[in-house]
Amino acid sequence: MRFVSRIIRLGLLASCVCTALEARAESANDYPSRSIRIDIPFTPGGPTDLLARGLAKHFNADWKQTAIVENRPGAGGIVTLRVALDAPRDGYTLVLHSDGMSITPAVYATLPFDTLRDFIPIAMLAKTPNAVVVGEDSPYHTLAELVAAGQSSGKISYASAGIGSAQQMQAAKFASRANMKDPIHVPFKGTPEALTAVMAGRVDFVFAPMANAVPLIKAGKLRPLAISSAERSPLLPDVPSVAESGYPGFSEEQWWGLFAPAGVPQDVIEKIEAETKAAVETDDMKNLITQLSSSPGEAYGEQFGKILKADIETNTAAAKAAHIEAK
Amino acid sequence: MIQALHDLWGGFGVALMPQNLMWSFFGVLVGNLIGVLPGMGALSAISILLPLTYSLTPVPAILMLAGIYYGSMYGGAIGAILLNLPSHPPHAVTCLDGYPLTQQGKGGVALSITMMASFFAASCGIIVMVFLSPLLVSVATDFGPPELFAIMLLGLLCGATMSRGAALNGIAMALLGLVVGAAGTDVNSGVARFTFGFDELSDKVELVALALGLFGVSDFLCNVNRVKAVGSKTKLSFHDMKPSAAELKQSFFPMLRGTLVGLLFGAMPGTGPTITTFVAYALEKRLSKTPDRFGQGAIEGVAAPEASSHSKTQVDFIPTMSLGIPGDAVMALILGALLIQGIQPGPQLITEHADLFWGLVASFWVGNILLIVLNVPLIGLWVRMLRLPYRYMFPSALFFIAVGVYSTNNSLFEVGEVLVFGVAGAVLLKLNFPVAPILLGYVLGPMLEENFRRALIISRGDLSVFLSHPISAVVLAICAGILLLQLFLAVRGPRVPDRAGRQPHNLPSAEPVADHQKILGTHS
Amino acid sequence: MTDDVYHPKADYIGGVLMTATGVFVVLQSMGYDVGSLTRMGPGFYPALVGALLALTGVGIVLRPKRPAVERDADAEPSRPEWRGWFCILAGIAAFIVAAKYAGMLPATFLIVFISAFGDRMNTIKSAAVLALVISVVSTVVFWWALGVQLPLLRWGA
Repeated sequence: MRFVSRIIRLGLLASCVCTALEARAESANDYPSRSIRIDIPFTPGGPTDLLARGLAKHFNADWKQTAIVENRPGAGGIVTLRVALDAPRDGYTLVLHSDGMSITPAVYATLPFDTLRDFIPIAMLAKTPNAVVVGEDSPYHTLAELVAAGQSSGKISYASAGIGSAQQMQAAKFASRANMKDPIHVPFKGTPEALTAVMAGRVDFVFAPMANAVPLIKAGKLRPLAISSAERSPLLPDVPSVAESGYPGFSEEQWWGLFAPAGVPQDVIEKIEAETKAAVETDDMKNLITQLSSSPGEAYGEQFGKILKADIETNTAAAKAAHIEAK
Repeated sequence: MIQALHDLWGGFGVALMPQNLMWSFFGVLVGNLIGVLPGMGALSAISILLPLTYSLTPVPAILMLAGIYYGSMYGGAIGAILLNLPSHPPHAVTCLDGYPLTQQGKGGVALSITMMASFFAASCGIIVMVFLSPLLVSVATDFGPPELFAIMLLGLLCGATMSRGAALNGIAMALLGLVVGAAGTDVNSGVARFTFGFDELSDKVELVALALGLFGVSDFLCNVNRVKAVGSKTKLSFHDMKPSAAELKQSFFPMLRGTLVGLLFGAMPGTGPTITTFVAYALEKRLSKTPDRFGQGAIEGVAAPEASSHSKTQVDFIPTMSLGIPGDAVMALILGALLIQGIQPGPQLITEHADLFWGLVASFWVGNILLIVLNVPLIGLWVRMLRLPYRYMFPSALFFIAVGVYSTNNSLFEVGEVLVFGVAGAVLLKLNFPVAPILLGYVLGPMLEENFRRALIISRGDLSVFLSHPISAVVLAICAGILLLQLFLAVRGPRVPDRAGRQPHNLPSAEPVADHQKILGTHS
Repeated sequence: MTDDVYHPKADYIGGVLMTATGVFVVLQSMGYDVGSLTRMGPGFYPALVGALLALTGVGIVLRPKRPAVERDADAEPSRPEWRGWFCILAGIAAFIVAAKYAGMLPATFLIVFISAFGDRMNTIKSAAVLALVISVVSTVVFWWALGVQLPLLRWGA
């Protein structure tokens, strides 16, 4: 009996100490006083993982606190975001997510959170355009030819990496902007499968990520018609942008950004933002971003928030128009 | 041809550079050791160790990852054969006969045969890589949705009837696997099916959790308090590890055929290694004069699937590297590692990064030799583990399963899946249902459905697309043949049951065999 | 692996189980859009598979019954091993809960310690020793060497 009561007392003591530790008010001066967790919704080895690890390295070096990257893939990022919301809102749990952050609210009928209310955008780390590509044997040599075929036949198909992928959203937005008649969406399980189908001529076109498309373009397996961003890409300087091909204002990019759950004190957020900005401007992060066929995001705090909000709005409109819905 | 040999020679130069050799050895060793841990498959091994490569230069990084991959594959075979734990799903088939062999005290022999099969198959795969890469790359894009659908259907038909026991039970389990595979987000519509409100299920049931639940946990549930030690009959002298001449002879042709099956599937990117092993096993069983031995410790049932998965793996590197199409989840991770190194997988990879590509090819050979050198002395050690009393073995193995499944996606929910499938598997085993076809159904189901629907989306709802494509037409004709034969046999009335609750196994007897031979172009 | 003893009721139980599962799957699938063969909705394929499963279940129940078991000694189906089942399943459940709220070390200890009791031969002492040994392995191999993404100790979620 004495043994049991001693255990109980020990347990009580331990839990008191812990509560005390947790309750200790966090102010920006103390932050960070322990390890930081960066949750990402993708498996190791992808661009999100690399950016997160690059950032973590800077947190480690500058703050002398370990920053751990945790990969928690699943449900288009919903699993990761939910886990982050369950953690204490003290700035020690951050999320690095892709532009999927602006697509899930548009395509999911119900979400366990409200993206704009429950997350604070801190920094857009990197962004990249997609390339509109067709197969090497495709009859379409310019964007205008593709659009003309799409407007008359109603038989044009586009591939994507899945329902609710950025590739689908961009292609759907473009098709509606160009008044294509009933374009057919062919979803695949990932970018490589989608590109293979376009290469083989089974599907007409795809909005392909630069990192995957450029080597295949250089080998002549894919033909680029346009670039989705407002300006041309330095990786394919000869390829016009969609905007300059007759659709002014069309500007679509994929991006990666750092978020914190709502409720983290503002001064802590500012400290993280400043550190992230400093990190992104270092040479090794710049190199990493270039390696990912991307450019620095250069949007922080409120400015990033505006981009996110605008993206969610256009995505929601496009999803409604093209009947894109995940349940 | 001469050029290829020249390049390969250069590749050996790269692979044998001390620094590269060291990383390759490190990868093989670590992969082997991690793979042996029950529950830790190639996927967990690579996803855990991937960050290590971020600080390496490209060649050693890729050599190390490749080493981890086939090291852990071989290591996984050890867990499958000795403990009935398929941490890498293709090994589920190896369990079917490997584990019974272990129970008969022949675990060491099974491991030796596996080693030979994997070396032989990998060597053949490498030769194909060296000489046929351009051909394979050009064929790779020929397999569109109709072709893939037809092949998946054939794989399913082969697999559903190959298990021990009544044919209907096997079919029921394959169908159950299709149901499990249907859970998750439907690729063609984005609708999440059978998730019962769990977001975690929207990305499908985790394959590793399913395999370890059905094979590992359910086995513990059935054996607890009934078994003292799995390998109590095992002899430990070196002599007993060595397969006898008869056993070698018995496994030679299965090994060869398994290798060919693997090479054939290797030409079809996106088919994955699991279907390959099932088809290789089914083929052996059909060809065997004594199909009854399968599932009770037939050495052919170990040699053929192991050979097929290793040759498939080798050949799979071609589309992964030159088209950026990964064959399975592990390949996808390796592809990620290439990107990290600033190397874009693509058609120019072989010319622009010749040192890397040929170094990798050469390192496969070097690595496989290292694997043998490493494992000849270790087999005795692994087998010795079996002497561990069951009451210590299974609680430890449960822990390894739990942590292994967790580390695949860092998800505790998936550990919960292990629990559910463990119970389900044990109940099904008690009711005389074979569990292996569930895994096959799970793997093939989504591909079957996706490709069927995708083919129809692309053809705008025209069903004739399946018959106008020659490859799919031929494969579908074979499927129809198998089905008709099954029906004919069923209509002809039940045959005399053999013994103790088992019906004859060789149901679709002669015809499918001939069909397989047609596909493979081989005769034994 | 399993006892090959033929349980006379196994076919009935198994067949009914399969039919029930199949019917459940079909009913669930009706909740999704079924569509038609050429324009399949998400419910078409699971409904088809569910129906086939239900039919197979019926086939299993109705198929000609095979003669009784020949293996006389083992003929009586062995009793279910409730203790083993309970401890193994409770061990896994304990791992999940402990890993979520307390970290890898307690989770390791609990899964081994609890499941060890499934075997009647294990005592508190032997289970505890085994659990401690595996805890050390867990710390050294998984936490330290492999860096599995699970903290060794933590409090709360």
